[in-house]
Amino acid sequence: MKKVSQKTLLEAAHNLMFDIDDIELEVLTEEYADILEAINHMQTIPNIDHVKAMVFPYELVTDYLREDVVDTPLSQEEALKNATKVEEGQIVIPKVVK
Amino acid sequence: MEYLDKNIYEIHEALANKKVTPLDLVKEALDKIKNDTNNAFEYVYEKEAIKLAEELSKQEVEVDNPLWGIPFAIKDNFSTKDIPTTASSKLLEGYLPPFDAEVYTRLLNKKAIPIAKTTLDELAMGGTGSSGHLGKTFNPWDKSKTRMIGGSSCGSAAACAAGIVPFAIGSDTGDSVRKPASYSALVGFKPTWGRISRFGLFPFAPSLDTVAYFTRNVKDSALLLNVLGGHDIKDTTSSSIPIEDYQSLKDKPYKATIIKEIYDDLKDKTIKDAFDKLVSELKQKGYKINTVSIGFDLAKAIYSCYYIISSAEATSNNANLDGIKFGVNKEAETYEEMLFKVRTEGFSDRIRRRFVIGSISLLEENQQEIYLRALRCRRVIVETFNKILESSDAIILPASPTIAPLFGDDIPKKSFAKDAMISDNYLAFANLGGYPSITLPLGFEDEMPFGVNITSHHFTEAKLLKIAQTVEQITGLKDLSKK
Repeated sequence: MKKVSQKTLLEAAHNLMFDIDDIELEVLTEEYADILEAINHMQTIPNIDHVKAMVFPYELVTDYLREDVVDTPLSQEEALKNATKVEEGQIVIPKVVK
Repeated sequence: MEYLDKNIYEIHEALANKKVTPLDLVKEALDKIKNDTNNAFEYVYEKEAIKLAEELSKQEVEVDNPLWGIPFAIKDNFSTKDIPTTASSKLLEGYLPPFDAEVYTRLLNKKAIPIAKTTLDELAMGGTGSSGHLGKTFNPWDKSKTRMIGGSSCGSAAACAAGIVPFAIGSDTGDSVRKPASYSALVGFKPTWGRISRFGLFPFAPSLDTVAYFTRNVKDSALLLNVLGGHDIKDTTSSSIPIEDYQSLKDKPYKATIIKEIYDDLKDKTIKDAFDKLVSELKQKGYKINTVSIGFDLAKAIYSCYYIISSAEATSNNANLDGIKFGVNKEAETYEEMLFKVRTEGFSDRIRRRFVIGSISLLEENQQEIYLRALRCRRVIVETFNKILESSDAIILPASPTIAPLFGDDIPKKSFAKDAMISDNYLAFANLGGYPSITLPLGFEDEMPFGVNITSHHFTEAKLLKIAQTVEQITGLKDLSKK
């Protein structure tokens, strides 16, 4: 298992749209090393790479479709009430194309 | 006369016999909250609860509805319409959900009275009860205020343990109800994944997240499952398997299994002795109890498997927290700068680091070796426990290897890869497998409680609760709280 550079960790943080400072990056590097060790440990479990990945805890069968009923779960007022800036029924964010 | 340190049925009887009214109960709860020093609450329903209680106090008690007029608390990661809901995150301060979570709706329909939203570890990601935006939540059993109650459902545990409410709703993704229950002499119950609707629960790791709750005895837990359990069309992972009458199963000697590696990792003599004594008494009641080895390597992998999967799921599930549609916004020149400010200042460094780890494990170049390996490991773990539970009615073990730890004992953070901490972190196996799992009091050490955990196969809650009731009868530890 190859190590991940601090540059990659920082890039991941930026892709997640937040920053981490140098001290946090050092802690993160240690934590990531821990993950690598855990991953290497999992490799010791017999046959691990030939097992099918398990996403959910058991086979889940959802065999129904809900009725297609016209509804208005949220009014415009309700949908907008938690936004900080609203003008003319729309949420205002900084201009992307200026 | 106090009532809220009693169990649900006792309070119901007092209501039915007109010894107390819902308004009396609400006033008692509000008074206790006002004087509480455990830092358990995010929002208190002062006016709303009084109004609801006044209305109920004019009505006849519903004698066949034990939840009628009973105050309860609910963790602040459940949506409650027009009631501030933060998940203890700075980013969500001031957020008013536009709808109610299904479990909350069901409790309101039963005319139970919400009295408070309770604090938690930030976004339910943590086990110390100290990482939310309100800081540390204290354990009512520890007057020195140096010991944690555990998390992430710390506020719900503290509210119930302090005798403020007879039950409190939480959520359990790794052990977030069952571990705090061990530290606070409560019953903490996580039913099968899919048994209770999660509609309105803030998602942390949806393949693991389960609605769970605290009560003071097993009978109350069974009552709540009959109310909260069952299919909900709004949650596609909610099961269509019919609910049972969880209080009617006849007792019989069951077969229970101890996992060797977890038991062998126990070091605290008092806890080990109490557990051995319980096993001996269960055997006297006709229980067959065996010990099974799952292998040290697999036992050690439980927590790391959980951590990697939950971090990956959390990363994508919290991508919607941008401060635009809801949450705390920030002034900025550009859209990107605004998102950076909101998410950098809104999440604690601990959460940001966890998101990075989740994101790295999902990168195309790492997915096979990290995320998918954890998912493969999950299958090995779950198939191992499935096999055990096919030949045994339950797995039984101490819920925690210690009494509630001191704050700071988790710093510097122990490496979960290097230090196995098997007996401290194994409870997550019930989330990886989606099993019903319950913690209840087992004993005391230095006047601090510790618990026993019992886990059974999917949708066998009736049997699990019956075994738990037998354990409760043996220990005699129920209806406990600490002023």
